Amino acid sequence: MLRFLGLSFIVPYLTLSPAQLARRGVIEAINVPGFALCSTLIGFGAIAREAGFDIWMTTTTTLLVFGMPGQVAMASLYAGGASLLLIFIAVSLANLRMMLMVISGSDLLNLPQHNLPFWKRILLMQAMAITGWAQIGFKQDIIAPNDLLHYYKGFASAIYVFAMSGTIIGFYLENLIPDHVLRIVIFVTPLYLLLLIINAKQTTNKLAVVIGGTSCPLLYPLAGDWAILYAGFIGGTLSAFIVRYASIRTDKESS
Amino acid sequence: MNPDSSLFGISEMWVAVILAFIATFMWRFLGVMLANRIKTDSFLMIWINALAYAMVAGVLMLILVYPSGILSTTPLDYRLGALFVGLICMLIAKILWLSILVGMSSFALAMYLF
Repeated sequence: MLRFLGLSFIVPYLTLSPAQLARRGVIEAINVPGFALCSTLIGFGAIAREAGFDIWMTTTTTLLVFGMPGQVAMASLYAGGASLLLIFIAVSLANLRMMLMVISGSDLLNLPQHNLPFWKRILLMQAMAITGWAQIGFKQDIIAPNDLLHYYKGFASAIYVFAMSGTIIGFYLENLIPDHVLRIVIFVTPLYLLLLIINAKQTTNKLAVVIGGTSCPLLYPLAGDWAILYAGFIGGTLSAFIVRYASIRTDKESS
Repeated sequence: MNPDSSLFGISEMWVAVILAFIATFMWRFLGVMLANRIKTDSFLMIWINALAYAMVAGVLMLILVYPSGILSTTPLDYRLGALFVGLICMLIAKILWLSILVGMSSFALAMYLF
């Protein structure tokens, strides 16, 4: 009935077919996630143009790299006259988290169960960036593990389109958006993603967000870009061990 | 660096773009290779998930605390204050869109009023 009335977006996820789940993914991307990412990439489009890149180079960067911090590092360092080796190292450092997100995302999506060919897994994981990864982490409670992949396909495709659109808009039209609006729009991306990941289902991951998020800016003046790795390692390791220790203690007390 | 200079006939800018792609893709590729080898319910997977969450939180907090571009022209207090308000709203109401709206509005109000 709800579908008949055009209100399919409030139909529970469990009743949806794979195609409907993918469509739901698209619809939910055309919301805060899509517009937040689009606005962030507007910033990148503008930075890349200032750095001297043409529209093809700028859009190719978004298409192939699809990881904002690495993209900004590449354009900013190039503009600053850094060597290609330094650019490679900086982007590698900025985007190392992709490996962890791909492992974690594959686990969330139950990828081994789907028996997909290697190239398909690579293609799916090319779209795995913070927004998509945080979204499936947020949805893992609501959508059955084996169905999450269909939702992700729709969501990630739409997010890619938003990212490309933002890059093009930023390259050509950044000057048309008033600065006071652009500041607020760009602020939404980190705000939205932080609120999404602090809402993680597992206590370990919640604690990791708190420790990693607070330690990284404190370490940055001392360690520069390495701060991301240090904060990730400290936050992830501490939270995993604290929660494990606490659960072992609870088990001992109850037995 | 001169953007017009070339390496093997390719613009150095294109080389930078391709290097950035390789520097990112190698991690994704490694992730796909490793994903099948780690047991879902193992402590190693729990640790990797926690590392990913901590690292992503770190990157996002760096964007807020040490922003580049136009966001760097806004005061740090406003950015952190608005994030704090959004987090409080999330903890109390547990509604994502409302928390984003409250956090964003706090930031906009601070920018407009002060």
